[in-house]
Amino acid sequence: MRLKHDRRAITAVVDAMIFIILMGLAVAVISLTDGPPPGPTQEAADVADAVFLGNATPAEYGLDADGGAYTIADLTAASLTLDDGSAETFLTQVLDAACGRPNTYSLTVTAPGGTLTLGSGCGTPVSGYKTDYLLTYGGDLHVVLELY
Amino acid sequence: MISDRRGDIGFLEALVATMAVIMVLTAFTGFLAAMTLEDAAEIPGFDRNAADGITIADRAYTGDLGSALQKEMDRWGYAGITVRCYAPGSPELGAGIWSLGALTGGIAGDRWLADVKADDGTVVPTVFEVAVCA
Repeated sequence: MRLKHDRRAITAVVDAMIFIILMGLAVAVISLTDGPPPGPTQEAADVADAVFLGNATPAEYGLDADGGAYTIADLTAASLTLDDGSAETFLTQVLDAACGRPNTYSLTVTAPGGTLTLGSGCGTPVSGYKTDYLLTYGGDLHVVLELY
Repeated sequence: MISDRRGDIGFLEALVATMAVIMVLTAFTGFLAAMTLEDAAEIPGFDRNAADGITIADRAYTGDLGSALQKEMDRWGYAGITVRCYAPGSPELGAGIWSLGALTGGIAGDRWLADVKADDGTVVPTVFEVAVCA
């Protein structure tokens, strides 16, 4: 067999080599990226119920009052009425610990005495929950929680 | 191989090029599948109900999780498991920690929020953190 030195005749082999190089670059890029961040491990409904149906004393919640344990929904409503900032501190502390990562939740709480919004989220929410918790001394606490 | 001035290729040359493309595509598909399986394996198998035995007594977390953790280890083949729980809204409660086995090697974790019953009739929002070692 005698090879003819014709540059145009090896087009298919060169195309295959270019394809192999492009695939190698794609593999390298995919390997270097971190991938999507992990999503929440719980449904927003479970998180909201665990928080607002739980109990705490006014001292634990940060309210300037004594007494036994109340539901966190009641304490949140009281804090919003007093506008003392304890609801924001307490709920931020709990949700940051529960979600484990920043900007992974968005909470809106509406009580007869005021409204509170926490968190900003990032991207499209993976889980959402909207409900009303009955307050011991009348009225409802409207909660909207979204997890990212 | 037969080549000519018009750039037409012979059968063998086309066959070699096609085989090269098919092999590279197969390797790439296998790489994507391996990466997908690797991401899925990072979520540990752990029955969250195994932590149901935790309660609060005398302002401290307590519970006998030995048999439940051993059951999870036998089920998933883990070398070690650690369960930690704490109340983010009640720091004076402290944390409860239960460990079984050896915590060495690759670690995967899970985290969730749940209410834990206390001996005074209240329920405390508690964060559970589980670390498993394969």
